Amino acid sequence: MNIIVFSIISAITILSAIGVISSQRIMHSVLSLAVMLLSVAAVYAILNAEFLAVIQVLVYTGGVIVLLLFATMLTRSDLQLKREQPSDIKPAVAAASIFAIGLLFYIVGNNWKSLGPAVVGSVKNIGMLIFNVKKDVIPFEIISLVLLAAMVGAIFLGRKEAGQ
Amino acid sequence: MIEVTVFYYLVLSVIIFSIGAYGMLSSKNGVRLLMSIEIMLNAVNINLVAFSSFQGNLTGQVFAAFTIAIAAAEATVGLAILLALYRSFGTVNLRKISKMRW
Repeated sequence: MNIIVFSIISAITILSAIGVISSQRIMHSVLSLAVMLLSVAAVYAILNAEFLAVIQVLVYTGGVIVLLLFATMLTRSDLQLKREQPSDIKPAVAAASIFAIGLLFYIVGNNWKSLGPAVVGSVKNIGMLIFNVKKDVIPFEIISLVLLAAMVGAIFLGRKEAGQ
Repeated sequence: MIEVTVFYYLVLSVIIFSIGAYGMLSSKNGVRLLMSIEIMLNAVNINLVAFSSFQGNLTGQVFAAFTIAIAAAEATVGLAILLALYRSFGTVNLRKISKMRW
């Protein structure tokens, strides 16, 4: 894979992720998150995972972003948003950077040369894995139960109380 | 021309995950907290897909698809909880929602 393409895509991903956590207005954060999710879909595409790239665009930018926009507008978050106090930020910066440095040391310390170049994974092979009784069909069915439970739970939590 | 190995994807994933962790720890707004969790889940997915693609084993991609489904369910329930909180507290500021916190 061309390193220039990878660098451009990862730069867009990182910058929009920073945009999500640093914009003043929450609506701008949601739009940066949309850019970030689309560029993660591009990362999947250059990793030869076309199926996941399409799923990412459909589920995240089609579903989750719309949900987040609804939540932003329904809770009127923009009216209460202020910049974080410095005392709030320091422990978070320390925790996140210690975590990042530790993981980077672990990654640099290992030898990843044994892994070959990226291979092509077709949609057909993923389907053969998911719907194979000996492989992943039971997790797949359990996912459908989880989605049903989440739907019922969201309806229950989101409805108005009786008498309100 | 430098070959892009799995190492680069791992570094990208660590950077994105740390940005998400920082956002989760420092955000005051509930909606932004949920967005930070989505960022962290995406970093994990990049990791899974990178290993799957470089090892020629598609199980990682199936795992990533499951993670995406779980993330969608989590976003739905989280936003419903945020709406319920907004209805009872009138705000989604996480520093002000402190009724059961010391």
